[in-house]
Amino acid sequence: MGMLYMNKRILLICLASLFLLPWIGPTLSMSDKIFYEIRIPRVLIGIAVGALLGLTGYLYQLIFRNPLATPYTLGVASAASLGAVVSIGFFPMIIPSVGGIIGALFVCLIFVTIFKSQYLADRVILFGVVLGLFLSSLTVVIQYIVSGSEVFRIVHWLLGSLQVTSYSLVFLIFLVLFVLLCLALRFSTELSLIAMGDEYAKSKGVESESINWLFFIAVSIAIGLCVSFFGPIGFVGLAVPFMARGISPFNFNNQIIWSVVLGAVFLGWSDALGRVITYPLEVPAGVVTAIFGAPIVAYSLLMQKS
Amino acid sequence: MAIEVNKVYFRIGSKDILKDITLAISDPTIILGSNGAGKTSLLRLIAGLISPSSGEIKIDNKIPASRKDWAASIVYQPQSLEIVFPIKVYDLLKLSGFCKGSTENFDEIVQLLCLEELLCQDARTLSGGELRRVMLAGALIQGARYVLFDEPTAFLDPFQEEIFVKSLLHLGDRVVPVITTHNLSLANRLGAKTLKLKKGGLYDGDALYE
Repeated sequence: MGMLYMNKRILLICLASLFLLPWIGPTLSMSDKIFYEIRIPRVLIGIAVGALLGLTGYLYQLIFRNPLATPYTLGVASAASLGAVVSIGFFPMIIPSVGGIIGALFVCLIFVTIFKSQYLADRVILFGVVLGLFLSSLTVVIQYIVSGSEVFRIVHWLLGSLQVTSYSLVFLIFLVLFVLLCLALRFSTELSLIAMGDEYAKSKGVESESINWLFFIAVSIAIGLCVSFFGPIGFVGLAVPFMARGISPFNFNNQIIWSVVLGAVFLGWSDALGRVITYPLEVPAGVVTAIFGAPIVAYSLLMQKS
Repeated sequence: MAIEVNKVYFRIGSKDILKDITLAISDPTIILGSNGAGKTSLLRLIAGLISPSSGEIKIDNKIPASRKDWAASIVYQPQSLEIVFPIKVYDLLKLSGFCKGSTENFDEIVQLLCLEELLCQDARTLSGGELRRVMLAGALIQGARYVLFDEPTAFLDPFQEEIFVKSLLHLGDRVVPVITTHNLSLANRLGAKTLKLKKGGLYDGDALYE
């Protein structure tokens, strides 16, 4: 789609702002050790998870041809939560992210078989919301079933947090982000055609089914990982693509890049704010993203018709 | 050089949508039939968007192996195109070169269909007639020989319809249009052969709409 043209000034400000993040929060007077072992990985994970949530949200909107379709509104994240909770409660020997990824894949399978093959795009959001509520209820039921110590682990996990202490997890999330971004840019033409409708894309020579599958699986793995490690963080995938489209309304390639950059800025700064606004207590990043994300989405939806 | 449809059946559940269709298309063709006769299904089968329950469809003597092969010889034009996200007409047309990997005839086709002034417009703001012409240009850029139109004049006023017919005539033998319609005058004006569909089968008589 032509040369990558960017609104360079906004891009620079966004990227520069990311470098401020480690210095937001309680001043680290104790030693540099905590700064490098806790603060820096946490900032990096916020950037990577935000970028992933922004990108997966954008991809889902294109594939389902609906500006409200994201892994969160379609119940994929709820399924990942349920999968993770089931594995915490009943299969403590396997890591929760396996359950999360399986849950996310399972819901994607439902959407591919029901909605992508039968042209029910107008009902997809409704179905997703219902499914999400259903799965959340199951998650609560499981908390009542399992024994005491597991309940504590589940509740702690469900609160969601970006606290990490291992650089290998940071590396893993950045790797997933890198792979998904490469896939999105490599197949951006195909995705632009799929955004015009599966049948239209097919008649232009796109193997729509394979491309859909590829991205459903890739997005499921990404969401399964994010949700199972950091709990549910909503509104990034919904709000960020609106902003990306606002900055570069006609260029799908630029929108992919902007979704990544703005996702990183959005979650990175939400987490930073969460560290300081109620200091010494911390507000979870997912709460801050919802507080800022909801008005952005509401405003964009109201403006869209004009 | 022809589209050959050989003993094709298309069923949904136990219902025969199309039954025992055998035909060959090498010249401009109009497909007539009442609502539910199976016209759209026939076009979508020929375009490879759906697969026949039995029988086979060959394009220029072979069964296309991939979607790109289908798209290189056949393009399907749906009744309407609902565009959700903003996209410029220019980009929409450039995307049509996907199956060839190039759009070397872009400028010529834009001139031919008088689309210069629309190129920078958001495709969502086009009128029905403009969108028809843009889609036709997309088909030409795609370079497919057979262009399948599903009710192309259904949503057009008589003036826009006239522009559309003139554009088609203007193209001469660059493409072979295959058109489903209720509009009998369209068949006469294009000098096309006529096929009749009735209740899912080919039909020879006059009582098409009984």
